[in-house]
Amino acid sequence: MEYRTYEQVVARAHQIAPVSDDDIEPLINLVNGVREYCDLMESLMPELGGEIDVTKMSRNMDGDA
Amino acid sequence: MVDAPHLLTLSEQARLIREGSLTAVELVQAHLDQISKLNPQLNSFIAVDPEGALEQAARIDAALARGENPGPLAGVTIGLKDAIPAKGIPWTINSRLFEDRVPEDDPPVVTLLKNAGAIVIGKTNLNEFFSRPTESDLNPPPWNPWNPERMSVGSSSGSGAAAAARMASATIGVDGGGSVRLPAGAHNLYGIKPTHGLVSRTGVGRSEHSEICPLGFTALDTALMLESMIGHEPADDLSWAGEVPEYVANIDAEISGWRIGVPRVFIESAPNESEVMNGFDTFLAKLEELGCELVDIDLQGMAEARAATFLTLFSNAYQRHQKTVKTDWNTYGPQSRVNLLQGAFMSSTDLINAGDVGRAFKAYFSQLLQDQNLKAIATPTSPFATAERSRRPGEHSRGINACYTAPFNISGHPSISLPAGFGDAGIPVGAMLTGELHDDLSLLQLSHAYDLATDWSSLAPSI
Repeated sequence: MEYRTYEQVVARAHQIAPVSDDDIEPLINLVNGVREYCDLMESLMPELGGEIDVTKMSRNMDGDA
Repeated sequence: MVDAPHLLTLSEQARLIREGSLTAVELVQAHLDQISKLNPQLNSFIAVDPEGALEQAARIDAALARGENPGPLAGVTIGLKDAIPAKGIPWTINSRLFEDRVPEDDPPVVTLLKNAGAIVIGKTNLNEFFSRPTESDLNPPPWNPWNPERMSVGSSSGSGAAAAARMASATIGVDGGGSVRLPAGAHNLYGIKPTHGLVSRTGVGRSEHSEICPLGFTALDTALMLESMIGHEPADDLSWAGEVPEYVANIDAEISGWRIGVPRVFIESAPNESEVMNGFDTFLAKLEELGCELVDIDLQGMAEARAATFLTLFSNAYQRHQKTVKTDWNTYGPQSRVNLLQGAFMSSTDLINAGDVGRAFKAYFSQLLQDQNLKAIATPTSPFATAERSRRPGEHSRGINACYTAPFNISGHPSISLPAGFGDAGIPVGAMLTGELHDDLSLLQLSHAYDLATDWSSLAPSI
């Protein structure tokens, strides 16, 4: 996920839709969530030739234990 | 003439119509009267088709009078979530973008329901494009008939509210992350998300994780509906072509000795409201009373699978709307248009990663069921007892209200929400059973046994 800064997110938003200033704050919040999820997915990817191992995944709702 | 036929279960209505002690026209009229009386307050329906419904009912009554068999659902009414088209009835997805759209054809799932004798009485309310509800949607959000001061949980909110308020014999919703199971739980209904591919989405929009699902008063009603909705669509590469058992004929089962997994560590990590846990404990106690063996299980990957489901949903949503958000931005509601952009911030690698995690979780969960000889696992349906709590911005964007439901969208496993009591606000809470791929029958059998042993399905809101 390449959109990591406020400026990057705002620039991308203007590229894809005629967003208004009022749209930016809720969008930033949502994109923060998307980034968290994308980073989580990336962290689960195995080395080349490996398999995703669910038994190494979390046991809790937040995905951190 | 049957007194107040709208208060009967769908199965009872269908039986009385077949026997001739109730006509389809009488039942449709009873539901239309209920809609006229309650819908101005509840906003459950956003389109009603009285002429079409009465015409169809008259045809069914005439067919019965000729001694024909118009199908297992003959004469009962259904409310369709307005995400699903139906010939001649506006199809808006609660958006101003589609304010004037009226389909000329039925999708296969609606054809199957009509061929079984069901009558589409109207289209039920939903959040615009399955987003968060706002007063600025084309139609304002529906209210929960169990407490009309509280919003209905969505996105199939109108389907939950309409069924609970007895405005239709049953309703249909669409579940992409919990959008049928959550409203089923919050409206004292049975709502099953079938195994992926059993109900074809042809004509409704392709999706690998979002299922068309019935909501009913009883487990038997839900089984009857689902059985009528299943059919292989050769043009749909996701449609299941294998054999499917008869649900209704086999719904009575001896469930004593069936092993049910309870992932206590995961459940205890969720921000469950006390009313939810009270309902869940009562639910588990009833399963034990019915002879089920509760087994503590170690369930992993739920948070990761939930994230994978949501990333896939975000990507699908943006992909569909990528052109229209450029040209019609101001026609969208302010909530849904921002939500729709989320998928534009992901890369193709992010999406493939999510798909791989989903497939790994799918294989893991099936193996877990097999290794531990489980018929299902049991969880609450939602950690929250009211819609308001589940709509707090931070919590909604992290999908916490869907922490139990969403993992099984990307995995495709069947999952059913059952009534499990009421919270302090008078809103029902649900419990959920999730089982092996293509073993929807076991979930229905468990639910039916539970239904017969409890009084929840006999309760109706006093509105």
